[in-house]
Amino acid sequence: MNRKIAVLILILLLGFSEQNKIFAQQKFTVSGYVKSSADGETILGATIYTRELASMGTSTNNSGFYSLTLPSGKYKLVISSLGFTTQLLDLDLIQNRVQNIELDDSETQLGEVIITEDIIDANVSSNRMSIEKLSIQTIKSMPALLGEVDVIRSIQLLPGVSTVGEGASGFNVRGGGVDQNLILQDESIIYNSSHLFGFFSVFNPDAVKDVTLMKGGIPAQYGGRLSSLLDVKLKEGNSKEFAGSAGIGTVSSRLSLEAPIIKDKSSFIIAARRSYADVFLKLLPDFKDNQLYFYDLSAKWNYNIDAKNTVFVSGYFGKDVFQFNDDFKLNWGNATGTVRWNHVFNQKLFAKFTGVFSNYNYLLGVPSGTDAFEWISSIQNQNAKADLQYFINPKNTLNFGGSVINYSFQPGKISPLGNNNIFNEYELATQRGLEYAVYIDNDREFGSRWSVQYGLRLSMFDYRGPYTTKEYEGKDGLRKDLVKTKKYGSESIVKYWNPEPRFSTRYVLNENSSIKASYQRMAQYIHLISSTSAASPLDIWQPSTTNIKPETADQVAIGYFRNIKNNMFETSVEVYYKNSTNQIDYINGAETLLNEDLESELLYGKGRAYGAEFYIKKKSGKLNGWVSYTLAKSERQIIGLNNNDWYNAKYDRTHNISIVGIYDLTKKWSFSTSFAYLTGVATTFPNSRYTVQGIVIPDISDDSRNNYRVPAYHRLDFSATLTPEGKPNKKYTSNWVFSVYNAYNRRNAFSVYFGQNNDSQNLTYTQDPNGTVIPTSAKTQATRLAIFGSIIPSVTYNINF
Amino acid sequence: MKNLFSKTLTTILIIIFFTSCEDVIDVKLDKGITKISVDAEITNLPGPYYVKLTTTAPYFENKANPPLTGASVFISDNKGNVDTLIETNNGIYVTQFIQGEIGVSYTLTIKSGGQEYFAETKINRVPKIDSLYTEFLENEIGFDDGIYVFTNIQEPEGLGDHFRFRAYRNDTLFNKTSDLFYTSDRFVDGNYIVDQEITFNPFLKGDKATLQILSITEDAYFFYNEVVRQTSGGGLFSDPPANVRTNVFNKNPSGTKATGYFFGSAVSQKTIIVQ
Repeated sequence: MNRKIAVLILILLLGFSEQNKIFAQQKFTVSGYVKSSADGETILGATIYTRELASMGTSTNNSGFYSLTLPSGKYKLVISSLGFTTQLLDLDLIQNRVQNIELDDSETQLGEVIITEDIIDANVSSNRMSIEKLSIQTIKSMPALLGEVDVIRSIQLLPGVSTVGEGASGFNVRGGGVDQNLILQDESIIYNSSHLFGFFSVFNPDAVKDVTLMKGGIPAQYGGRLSSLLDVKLKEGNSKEFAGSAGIGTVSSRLSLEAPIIKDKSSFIIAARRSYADVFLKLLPDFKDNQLYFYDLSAKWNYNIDAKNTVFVSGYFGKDVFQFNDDFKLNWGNATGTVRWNHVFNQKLFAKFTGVFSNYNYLLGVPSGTDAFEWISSIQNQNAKADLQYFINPKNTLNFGGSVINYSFQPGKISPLGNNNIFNEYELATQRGLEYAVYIDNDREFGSRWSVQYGLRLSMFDYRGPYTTKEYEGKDGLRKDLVKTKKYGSESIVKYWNPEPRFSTRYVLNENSSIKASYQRMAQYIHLISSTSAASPLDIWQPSTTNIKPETADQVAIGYFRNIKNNMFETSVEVYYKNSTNQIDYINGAETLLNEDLESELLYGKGRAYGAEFYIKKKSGKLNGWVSYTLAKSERQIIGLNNNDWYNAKYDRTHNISIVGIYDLTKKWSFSTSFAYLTGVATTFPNSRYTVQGIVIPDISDDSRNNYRVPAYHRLDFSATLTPEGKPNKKYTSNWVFSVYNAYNRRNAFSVYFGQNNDSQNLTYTQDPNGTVIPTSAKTQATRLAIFGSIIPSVTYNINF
Repeated sequence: MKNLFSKTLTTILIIIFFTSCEDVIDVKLDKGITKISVDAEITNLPGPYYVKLTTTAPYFENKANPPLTGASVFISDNKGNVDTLIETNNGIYVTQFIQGEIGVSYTLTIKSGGQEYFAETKINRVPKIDSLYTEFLENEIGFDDGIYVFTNIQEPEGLGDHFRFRAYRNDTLFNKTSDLFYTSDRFVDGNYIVDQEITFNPFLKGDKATLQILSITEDAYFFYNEVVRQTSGGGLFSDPPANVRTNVFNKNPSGTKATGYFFGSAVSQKTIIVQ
């Protein structure tokens, strides 16, 4: 009986039955890689179809590989991708064949893609929704703060994406927290995406190939975070000729080099960036012994062993360093390494085996004196995964695989330095966990209108010793008391598992429009413990433990997609609803760092978020860009906060408008602008005050949370790019980028806070009979804090050779 | 000496936000519920001790909070003494005989407006101040050049000690929120604490410099910590605004809440004349 069901499921999954009936004719497979003829970079998401059987199309996967199975015959193969000239290829399919394809760059960088033929654009035709792809060219064309091209700041202009404020680390997707985004750079997990506390992001634009953000309908292949997947793909390196680029900006300088090692077979890219604020700072006598900089280094090497095997090795290392004389030092950074082997088992079965190492750590310390110490903390993981794709036929693809992640968390350790030191050694025990997942997912088309992608991910988290677990009791909202401890050896302490069904479907209404729907369940086993307004580099990640339960989220989304004017415009409307469980919050005054009883200060509850996202994107022509509007709500109900009632999440932004315009005026000049408007973040204002020992203390008399909002955020940026005409014999091109951030000088409030004004703190105090003092009168005020209080202009010079 | 790292973190954040700006704005606030507020302390120094009772006032009402008069106020200890306080001044209540002692617990009881409130505290041990001495500081980040007063103290063996430090110049207490020094022995238990500045402000020759060290309960340590976090701006890494804890509770859990704090402290003190 069970066998029969298994066979039935297999038949359903693979869809052999119907296909075999339809085509009695013999079928063959054409497969291979699609690459750019200019630099040999693989092209992801390029579409491949035949004129003769237009509905039998496919597209290249995340590795640039395609596989297309067709009845034997003569075809005209059409290969196209945005930014490349469409290629037509005669194909006489009388046997299985490998066909690698190279596409030429189209004349203009972005616009004027002439092709449309009769294939429907991906916006309408793909069965994915809530997905947004940004090419690095687009990101580079957008105005950037201080001229630093920034992946994270760019995606913040997409619908459904926001941040809690300028300079805040990370981003919020559809009302989720910053730790609910899985950030992958070449498959490695990036735990902190920020340089300089959050002003810049860690991705070096010269090494990045493209950026994909998935907000919903996330395929079963990915998991581990509730809100989104940000997939940053690095370039492979020019396999045709030596090339490089360099840039000098206001904040940092960049250099990247790429070259073939063996032409068309092996190449590398190495890209480095360093900021140099400290170089100027050193000119000031007070700061001559200070260090303040960040740098990052990305490197990747690939080797095409043969048509079936390609190996990639990539690494990333980034650091932020601050040191102020002998008084203080702080540094943090990510280090990652990825080894990947792409293997074509046969023309229909593509596999990717990946081994990853990721590490995030920080060190804070005082280098000298009797209070000299070093405080370190880290999170580390090794990850092994296998992802396989079985291209059964153009209408049926099976994805399956598995992953295991081995985590180790060092929440904090203090080591005193030198003699006469006032500190003792203090160390929080290392925590460990294993996260397993297996998935299977089937991408199918039924007829020409309907397609479905459905899958299941099974994830399991094994929280492991050696560790001493603690049990707490007490009132929610107050620090709880330790009641019981239990010691574990190197064994499993607790296991959690979650089935995570994923589903997305598309129904084509006509060649210009479709409707799509998706459902996803996500589970998250590691959590960023951050009780401050914006996440800080000192925040620690915590595994799910006996006290901290895994977070889960269910999201449904429905959307209408329509292309206008021969795919020149892509438009969409999506609505979503998301319910999440085991959301973490903190008691008032929680100590999240170096606290062995951290779990006694955590609170748990529910989250719900819903919204509508409107999006119009112009893809071609001299003017490119998009307009997006998001109307949304994000709320939490945490037992122990806000009298146990629902309240607005800090990052709840009712209205979120973004406009991005990129205009290529001439070959010499191009301009871009961006505008953002967001409802102010939710915050708590007090309404009363009292005085203890001469200090005025604000009181929120009803104990409510996020009962007000800071003023709305809006900002306009410009940039202009001047590309001087290259002389024919010149081996390089260069450009100047002039940008203005915050063009109309708005003081956008990061926060509004309440306190005594300085004058009243300086009052002569009268002494009362008890010996304590009372200020004769204390003036209180509300202060608006703006992270940027001015227009910020910048100039960057870039050179490509 | 303050909260382990806040001094240095503050410094770094000031440097980073070179472009940030602050301005005072007008905000309309709701009128809150009025609660009673307690400002009281019992020490091991000779009494009498004072309990100041007020009610909370609208946040922007820039005058002293209204006194709470006519309340019945008692302080009792765990040895069976009960002292009834006498209201000597508007809202100021004075003890008659009770004497604070190290190791003894105290309960403050307030009856007012048909509600009964209580607050509990304990007087914990306090170490002696070993020495006070001066040094000239030059080019130290976060400090103006000048003469600073330093102290050495032996932190008593055994975890669980919490202290507040009060520094006076010519008998005037440094009492801005940025002058609030308090510490826990979590990272320094049993150590000889050397070379700690007692203020962020320099002294002048001839100044009388006094340092008081007061033992406080762990809960009072959290209280000060929350006061500082809630009153020191709204930067990137500030705490979300929330109420500071209180140790004053209504006997009836669903009754009106109270605010404020009742401290119990043992005090040791040293004075030098700055040379």
